[in-house]
Amino acid sequence: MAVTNKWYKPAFTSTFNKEALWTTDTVKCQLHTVTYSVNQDTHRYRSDLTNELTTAGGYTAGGITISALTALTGTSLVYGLDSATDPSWNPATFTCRYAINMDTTPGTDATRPLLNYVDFGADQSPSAVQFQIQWAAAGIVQVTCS
Amino acid sequence: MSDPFDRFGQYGIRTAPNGDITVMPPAALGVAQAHVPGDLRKAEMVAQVVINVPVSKIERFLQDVQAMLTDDEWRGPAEGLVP
Repeated sequence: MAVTNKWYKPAFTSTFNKEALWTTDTVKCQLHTVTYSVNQDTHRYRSDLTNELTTAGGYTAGGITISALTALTGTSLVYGLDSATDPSWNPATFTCRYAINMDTTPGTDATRPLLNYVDFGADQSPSAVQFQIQWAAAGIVQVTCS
Repeated sequence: MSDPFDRFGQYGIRTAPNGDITVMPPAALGVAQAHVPGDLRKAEMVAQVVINVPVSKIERFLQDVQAMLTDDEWRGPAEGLVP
């Protein structure tokens, strides 16, 4: 039951098309149930997502703002994006499986690019306790040029 | 605290004694790798054929071919194995 974190492939398309400005736009982290069927290859915009948690049990639909993201360029040939905000819900009483980050500045869900998704490996069901995601020291996402 | 954690203890899900849950994911990784020039060439199909023939026959065959290539009767103008 490993926790994994993966790029959405179309995040690169959205970025190169200047649809997402990760270091200046509003970036949100939202939670989804296991019934969301991830498609890393094709899911590009917020409108591709399904089964976000509804507003209940300490969660508010739409997620938590984690911007502004910062660019990590300290390691040679590695570029990363990080956030100083570790999203936290407290007290939380819900069941979730995925955390998904996206740029919510564009006007509609059909134009709000996705960045990455965290798969918890199994449903997480906090019960009136804090539920938090701590981003790695290496950042939320990174890419190595070689 | 409880597992599961990865073998390095860096990433995973930690449940505190009071029930607080902390998810610690690794960074999502991507690799942008440039092609080396050789990768850009279309690969040539190679056929490997194994034939069980005595070496003496092969030597004789090669000698015959060599003889043909050096024999003017076979190498006549615009004819023979080598035009």
